[in-house]
Amino acid sequence: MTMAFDALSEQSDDALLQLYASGDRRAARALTHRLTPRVLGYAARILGGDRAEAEDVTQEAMLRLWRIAPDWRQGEAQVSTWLYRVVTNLCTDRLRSGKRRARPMGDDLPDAIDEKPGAEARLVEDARLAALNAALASLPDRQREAVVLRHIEGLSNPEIAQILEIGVEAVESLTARGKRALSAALSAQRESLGYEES
Amino acid sequence: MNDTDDLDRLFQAARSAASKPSSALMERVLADAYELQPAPALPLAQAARHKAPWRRWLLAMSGALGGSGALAGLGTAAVAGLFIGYASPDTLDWLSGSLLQSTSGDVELMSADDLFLGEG
Repeated sequence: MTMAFDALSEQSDDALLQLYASGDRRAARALTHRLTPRVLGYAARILGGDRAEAEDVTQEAMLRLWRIAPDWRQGEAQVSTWLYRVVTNLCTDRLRSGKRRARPMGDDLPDAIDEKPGAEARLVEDARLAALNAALASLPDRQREAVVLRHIEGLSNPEIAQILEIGVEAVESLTARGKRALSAALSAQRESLGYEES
Repeated sequence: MNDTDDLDRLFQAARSAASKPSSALMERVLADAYELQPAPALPLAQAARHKAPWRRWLLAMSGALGGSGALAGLGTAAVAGLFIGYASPDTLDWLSGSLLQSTSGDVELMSADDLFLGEG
């Protein structure tokens, strides 16, 4: 196959996986570049910001994708939905094992104060994101998974229902309760995060 | 502005601040992909060079005998020979238009007339 890498970037995940299974090395690269950041971001949020563990989960989930590629039935399931389910299960196993190293996401913030223009705004934004991640980490596992999939990964409720293997109504309930809990956790920090009083 | 607006903006900001994987992770994932990737299908000419040994032997024999046309002719002759060997002579007559004169019938080795009308 001599399709250019740019042309491959316009292909669906399904089509790329078929190309990968037929031996196209460019499809391997395109899928890696497309899916790895999404898988890593989701795993990191579900694991409460443990970057090293999220990287392990990412590599394992992608490994399972490569293994299933030759048997993948096009059109039966979405590659992204399948991957999110694998990542959710891997994260759940790790959270239950209790061997996880607790490390809040805010640890990734730079220690030194940036003197460049706009640095202050960026610090405020980083502090807000760190507060969001901390609040997400305080949610029960299922609520956190549903909220992250719905509001950060941008999936639909039926897609989330497939990933979490629950009904759509249960997804709606989980996201609503999760959002209420997040609002309550963040409202106490409104002033410190630079939000004006309403 | 209220809490819901703030939260929605935070979600939006979190979406934009996508995690960037380290180059080491990307290399590990890609290395796994290459290692587990099935081999590509070979082009026809290349595939011919990778045929099973018995097929290579058959191709060599075919070439020595004058190609696939000659091999087909030999096969036809062999089948015809088998047929001629097994077929009954009547069928053979029909096939050959009785040119071979191979009619078969009852042959009277000692005539009854000779027995009863003969002397003694």
